[in-house]
Amino acid sequence: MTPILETNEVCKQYDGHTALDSVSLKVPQGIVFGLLGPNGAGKTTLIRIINQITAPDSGTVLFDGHPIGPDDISKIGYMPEERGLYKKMKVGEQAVYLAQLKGLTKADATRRLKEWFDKFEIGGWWNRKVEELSKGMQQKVQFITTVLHEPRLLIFDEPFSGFDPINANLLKQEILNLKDNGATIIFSTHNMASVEEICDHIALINKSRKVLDGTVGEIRQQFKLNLFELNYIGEHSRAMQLIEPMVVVKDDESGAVNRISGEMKPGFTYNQLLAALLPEVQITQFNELIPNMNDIFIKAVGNS
Amino acid sequence: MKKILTIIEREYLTRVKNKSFIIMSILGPLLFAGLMIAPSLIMNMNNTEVRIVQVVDSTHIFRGQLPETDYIKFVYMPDANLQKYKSQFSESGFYALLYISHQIVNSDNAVSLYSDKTINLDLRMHISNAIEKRLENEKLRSCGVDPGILSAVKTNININTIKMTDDGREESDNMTLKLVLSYLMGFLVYMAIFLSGNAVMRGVIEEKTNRIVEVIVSSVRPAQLMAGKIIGVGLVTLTQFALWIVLTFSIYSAVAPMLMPDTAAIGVETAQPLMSQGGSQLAQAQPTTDEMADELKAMLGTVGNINFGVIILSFIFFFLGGYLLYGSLFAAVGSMVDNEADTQQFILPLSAPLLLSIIVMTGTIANPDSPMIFWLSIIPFTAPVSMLTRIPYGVPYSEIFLSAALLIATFVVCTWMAGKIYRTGILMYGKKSTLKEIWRWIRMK
Repeated sequence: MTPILETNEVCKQYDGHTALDSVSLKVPQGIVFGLLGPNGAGKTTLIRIINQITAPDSGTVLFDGHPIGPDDISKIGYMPEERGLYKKMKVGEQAVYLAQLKGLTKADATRRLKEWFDKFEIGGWWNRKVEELSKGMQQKVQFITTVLHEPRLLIFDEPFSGFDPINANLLKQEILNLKDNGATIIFSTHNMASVEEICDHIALINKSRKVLDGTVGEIRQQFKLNLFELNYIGEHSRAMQLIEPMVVVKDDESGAVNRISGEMKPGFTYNQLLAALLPEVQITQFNELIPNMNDIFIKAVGNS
Repeated sequence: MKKILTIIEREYLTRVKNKSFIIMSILGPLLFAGLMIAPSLIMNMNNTEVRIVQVVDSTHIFRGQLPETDYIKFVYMPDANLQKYKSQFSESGFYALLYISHQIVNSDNAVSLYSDKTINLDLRMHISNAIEKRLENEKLRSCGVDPGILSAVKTNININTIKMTDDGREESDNMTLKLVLSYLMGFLVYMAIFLSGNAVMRGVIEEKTNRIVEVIVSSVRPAQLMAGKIIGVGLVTLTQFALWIVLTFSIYSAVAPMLMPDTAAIGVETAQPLMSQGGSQLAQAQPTTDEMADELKAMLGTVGNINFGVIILSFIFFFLGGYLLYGSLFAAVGSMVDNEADTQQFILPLSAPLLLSIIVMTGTIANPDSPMIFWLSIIPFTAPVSMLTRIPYGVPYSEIFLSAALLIATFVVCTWMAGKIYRTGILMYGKKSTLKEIWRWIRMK
């Protein structure tokens, strides 16, 4: 299947500093794609290029296989990090206006908005001015206006900032619903916990270059250090002696249940380790320690 | 294109529905109509009361000589016993008591006016002029000047200005009408450009500080947003002006007949006291009517000679051109800053040409063809105001076209640059924009 979005060697310079340096990405259809990176890495610039707010100095952006153009605007929904609404305007009027700019007719926009307002139980806000709403309430309205035109590609830049945990969860569910309904979501964030929860695929940008790209599973495998944790019942000194040739022991603890954590020496597998131990001790738990996204993020950013 | 219309619609409706717009639309006409009605009303109220002045004249040369008007009458006392009349004054029912002492030939302070009310300026001037005139005549006579010569000396000059056109025709030329048109158009365009330019700028800053602008430019091009805003605000200003004009005249025509039943005579009524204060035509009882007629004739003659087609077309063109030029520049300024306080440094240089053309406008009356005004009416940044102040006095077509062409060219270049600045500026936060940076924005692809 053609990727819904593809960037090829995209470069962008601002005032002598490079914001993006030959960034190539493929976003497959129907997934949640995490676009990660520290502040100032170039994420927002890339997102603005995808939204055709700014043009790249060189490189191309393909949408659904063709070079992206003005007609694709209505197929993209974008919720920027710096977001807001007209404070003096009524909620309903404003949402209709934003939908019209995305190409919906007034009648269509009004009908769909009523549905969403009912769904979020905010029907009573229609005629209230935005300035009367709390920040969290405004974010809900913002979310609705982003998805109202049922875009095929949705881009959320730091969507959870400003949401309380309950609303953040609601938002997460809605994002996953959108994915189930066939939309593709690009999700830019610093919140690594949420990345593990909802992203299928990630790309990490650091200092204007792409440093990581792949599915969440692949990347975690790629970053694993052959670390393990082992719990067993039996004689501790004997076990230590058995594994010594294969393992660099990082930590050990003896008690009712003994615990060893360590790193496999090159050339040895977990199976060899377990085979050596099985005749002597009773193993109660064995875990491979796979790094979480937070560790990977810090490591990848530190390395590059 | 459809999106621009949507933007224009929002800009227009949110502003027109705004309370301050509605209040301004009502207060403005009330104020203007009040300004139009009040002077006539005050004059009328003063004049309708007939004031009878008691004259105690110890010289006896003024008896029956002081000119009366419809509202000022004199009653001459048979003797000069000032004390007696003063003590009886409160019961007498006279408006005032005029005492002329026999010192009058030698002293400046020989005339006194007593009253238990405050004497108005109008009456004082009337009496003072009348006495001076009479005394002057008396002195001349005593020097042996013949009364026949005196009446022959009395002159009244009304200058007809006639403009000779290139094709040899002579047109009567009335400066008053041209002056009014020139001022009106100059001020109207200045106000419109300045007020709506500021509104555009505030709108841009609002979108920036609300952080909604990024959402919008992901749906429409920045240039579309800028154009929609400028056109929308321009339409609001036009609506405001149209409402002011229509409402002012509705209020005036509804209220004026009620407050002033003799509306038809208002022109003469109001003009009369003003003119008589000038004092020159005092000797005639109704001095102003002929003059008014002459003036009116001249004005009407001029109306026929003024090319209203050219004036209206020029007004529309220079208003639109000037507004679009300044509107885009104000939008660019709005995009460069984070809040309104930071705009001052840019607003001043931007509005200097407008202010200059308003200041010079007064000079246009003295000399509509001076080189200063000529150049200002050609330079695109001052042309919208300066050319319009010149137009009623007659400007060669070649100059109008030159000015218009330059305005269009400047508009195209400035809008293009403003669009570039705007495009980058709206997404920049927390950075003070230096001129160097702005130059980079303009060159950016």
